[in-house]
Amino acid sequence: MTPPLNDSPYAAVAAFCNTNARGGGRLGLWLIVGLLLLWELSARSGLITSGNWPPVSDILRAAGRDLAKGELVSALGGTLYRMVIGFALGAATGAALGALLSLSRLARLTLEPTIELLRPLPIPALIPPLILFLGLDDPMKIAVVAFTVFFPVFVNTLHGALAIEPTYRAVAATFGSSWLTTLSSVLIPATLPYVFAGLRISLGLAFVSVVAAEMVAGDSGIGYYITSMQYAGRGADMFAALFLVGLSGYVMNRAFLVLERRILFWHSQSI
Amino acid sequence: MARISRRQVTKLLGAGLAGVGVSAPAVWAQSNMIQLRVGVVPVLDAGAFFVAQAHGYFARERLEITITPTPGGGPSMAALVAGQLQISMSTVTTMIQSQQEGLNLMIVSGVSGSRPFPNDYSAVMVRKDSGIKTGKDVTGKTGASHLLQNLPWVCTRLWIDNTGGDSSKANIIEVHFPQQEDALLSGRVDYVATNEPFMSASISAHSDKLGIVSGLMGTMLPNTIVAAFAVTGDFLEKNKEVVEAFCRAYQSAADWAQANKKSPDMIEPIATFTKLPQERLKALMAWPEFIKTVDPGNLDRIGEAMKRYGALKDMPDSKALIYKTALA
Repeated sequence: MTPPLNDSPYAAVAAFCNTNARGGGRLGLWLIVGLLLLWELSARSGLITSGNWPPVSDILRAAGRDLAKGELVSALGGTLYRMVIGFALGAATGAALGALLSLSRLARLTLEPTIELLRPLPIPALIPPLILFLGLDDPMKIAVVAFTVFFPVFVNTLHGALAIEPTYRAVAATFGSSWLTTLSSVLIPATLPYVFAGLRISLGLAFVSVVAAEMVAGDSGIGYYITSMQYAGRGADMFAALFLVGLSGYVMNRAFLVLERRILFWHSQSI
Repeated sequence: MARISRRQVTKLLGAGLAGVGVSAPAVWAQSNMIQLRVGVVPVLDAGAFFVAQAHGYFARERLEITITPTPGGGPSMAALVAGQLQISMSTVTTMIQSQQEGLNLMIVSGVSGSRPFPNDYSAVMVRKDSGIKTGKDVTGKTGASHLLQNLPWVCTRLWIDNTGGDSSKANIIEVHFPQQEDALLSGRVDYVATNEPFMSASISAHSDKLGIVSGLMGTMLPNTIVAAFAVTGDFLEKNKEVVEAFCRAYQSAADWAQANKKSPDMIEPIATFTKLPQERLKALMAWPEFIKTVDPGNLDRIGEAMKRYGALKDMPDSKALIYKTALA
C-alpha cells in the first residue's frame, strides 16, 4: 500500500515542489513587472521616442479609459464570439474527420493528400480569396478560425486514434464488449488526450487568426480596433488593446488547462 | 390582478418607442429608405463621405448607408465583386489594375485628389542626416512606400527619375504609413513616401531630424485624382437611379467639405470615423482635395506612369472606366 504522502519522504519533495512552483510563479510575475518597468523607463527617459512606443503608465490609463467607455469590452466581445464559433466548427470537423480517417484506410488514402496540401497554407494569404466567397463579415472570419483550428485537431485526432494499442481492442473483444462499449470505454478515452493536445494548440492559433482577419477587413473586433488606433496615431490605445489580447489569451489557456484536467482526469493522474 | 386600460397601453407603447428614439413618422420614413452598403477606407481622404453621412446628405436622398471600413485595394474590390459591398472607395490605381484583370468596374465619383506642393498632402520625407535632397541622392539608400505598385510608389519613382536619379536602381521597400516615422528615425530607411495625417505629425514631433524634400502625388502628377468610388457594371445596370442618388448626395457633401476643410463641422465627423484626435486634424499642413469628377486624361497619365514602372501591362481604357456621374 502506498504510504500517505505526509508521512513519507515524498512529502518533503512535494512540499519543495509546491513552494518552488509558487516561487516560479512569483518569479515569472517579477519578470513581467521588470520588463514593464524597463519599457516605462525607455519611453520616459527619451531613450526611445516614438508615438508607437508610449509609456506603460499611459497604456494603462488608456486601457482604463477604453474599458470604462466599453469600447474595448465590446471589441473583445465581438472577437471572442467569432472565435468561439469558428473554434467549435473547426474542432468538430477536425475531430470527426480525424476519427473517420483512422477507421478507413480508403478515406485516408483519398483525403489525406488534399488535407496535407492545404495544411501549410498561411491563413493571412487566404483572407482576400475568402472575402470573395464569404464577404467581409462574420462568416469570413469564422471560416478563417475554423480553417486554422481544423488542422491541429485533425492531425492529433488521426494520430491519436491510430496510436491506440491493438491490445486494448483485443482485451475489449475478449470481454465481449459491444461496439458502443469499446468506443466509449476504450477508443474515445485513449484518443481524447491527443484531441485535447490539438485543441490547446488551436486555441492560441484561433485567437491570432481571428484578430488577423479583423485587421484586414470589417468594422468590429479587437483586430479592427488595433488597426484603427494604429492609423489614428493613438499608440497607447493600440497597446491597451494588445495588452488585453495577451491577457485574454493567457486566461483562455489557463481555463482550458483546468477544463482539460477535469475532463481527462484519468490522464492527468497518469502523468 | 390589475387591469391595464387601452390608454395606458398606448402610453406605454409611446414611452417605449420614445425610449428607443423611434417616433412613428421615423418608422415610416425608414421603411422607404434604400439601403446601401458602402466600403470606405477610414482615412482623411474619405472626409467628405463622413460629412455626408454625419450631416444627413444621404438621408435626404432617401439612402440609408451602412459603412464598412475596408483596407482599400484588393480586398475592397473582392468584396465589391462578391456583392458584399454595393459601392466601394479605393485608390484609382487599384481600379485601373482591376479593369485590366477583367473586372467589370465603373468609377461613379471622385473622392480625393492632390494639388502640387506646397498644398500636396503627400510628400517625400527624409531623415535630415541622410543627405537626400533629390532623386540623384537616393543611390545606395533605402526608401519606403505604404504599398508597392500603388500611387505613392509610382510617384516616388517619378520623383527619383524627374530629379536626376534612376528609379530602376532604387531600393524601395513596403513600410506602412504608421511605421514609416520609426523606420526613418531608426535609420532602417532613408526616405519615405508619406501622406497626411502622418506627414504633419512626424514633422511637428521631429522637425530637427525629419524634413520634406518634395511633394509627391499632386506634385509628380499635378492635380491628380487619388481615390474614387466604384461599383460593378452589373450593379450599375440594375440600380442606376440609386447610384445617381448616392453620387448627388456625396458630391454635394464634397462641395461643402472642399470649402470648409478646417471647420468644426468637418473635423468632428472625420475624427469620429477615423478615431483621429481632433488636435491632429487641426494641425494638418495640407488637406486632400475633395473632388467629384474624374478626368480621363488624368487616369491616362496615371496609367502611363504605372505601365512605365511595370505596375500595369497595357494602358487603361479610361473612358470606359468612368460613369457619367464622375465626368465633369
